[in-house]
Amino acid sequence: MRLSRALARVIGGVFDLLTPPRRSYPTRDRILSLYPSIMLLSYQALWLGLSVVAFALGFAALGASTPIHAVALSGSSLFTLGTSHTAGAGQAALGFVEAGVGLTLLALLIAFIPTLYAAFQRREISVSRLSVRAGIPATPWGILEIAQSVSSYERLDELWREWEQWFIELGETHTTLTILNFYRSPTPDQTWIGAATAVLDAAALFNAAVDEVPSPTAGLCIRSGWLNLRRLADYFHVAYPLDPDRTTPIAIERADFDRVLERLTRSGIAIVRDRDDAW
Amino acid sequence: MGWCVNYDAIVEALLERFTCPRTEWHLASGQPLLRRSNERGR
Repeated sequence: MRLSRALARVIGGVFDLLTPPRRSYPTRDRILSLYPSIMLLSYQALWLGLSVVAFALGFAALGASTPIHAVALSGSSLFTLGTSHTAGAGQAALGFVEAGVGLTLLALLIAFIPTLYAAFQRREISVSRLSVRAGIPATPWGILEIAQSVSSYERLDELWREWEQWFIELGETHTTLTILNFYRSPTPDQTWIGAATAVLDAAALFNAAVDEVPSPTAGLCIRSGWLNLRRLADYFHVAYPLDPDRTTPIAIERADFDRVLERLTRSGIAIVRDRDDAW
Repeated sequence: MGWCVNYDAIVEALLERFTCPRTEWHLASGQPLLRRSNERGR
């Protein structure tokens, strides 16, 4: 586990060097998209390499003539090549065990990739579907404006429900298959965290500022997002206020908030009169 | 400032951790909103 973390730190450091902030975001995005695949291959190489070394020590203890012969026996057994022949029952038994380890590692990788891809695909389908209802890139005002122009706010409940479920799945899959967090959305203008943020902001704006009855479904979506993103934050040791209240600073300036409300008003969306209360 | 206070700090931190852009907060007018300003992290 420590070696895997050390490997992640080394590869992460290389990617940090390759993607300084002065480079354009699309370039950084393109480079960073390689990170999880390289990590997966590196883990596999690390585990296989460690297995070769560990079993080579075993073969050396069981009478391999030279260190090179021990490594050759170990590699031959791990990859079930049969290029080196064992001598004696002890070496044969160790060869069988190592062949089993090699096949198990390979089988785990083969089984792991489809599982990973299925979870990635489920995540990204909702992100792509959001572009229909929120524009590209997804924005909270886009969600409200499109909802207001093409249907009624009732259709928003579908969106809140879908994303409530999306957050639950995210919390489950991205804390168990943690490398998924580093798999980026296919295009630079769509990111899964950006989409999630847009949905949360839209739900919060709707309940706080739109002159409609606050939606309990939107409230549940926000709660689901908060709980499940918090799980990710905890996993990655990201600091956040444990018990935020109205006095906790937020990243949005009041002037920006007002500009969004003005924009929504120009789009024909009824905004509550008391903007201070909405804020 | 209570409208998004529950999740605000968490999404900010995650956006930074996974290097997501600020473009989502650009208005059509071309004036960016001063949020999601991260350009660091991986």
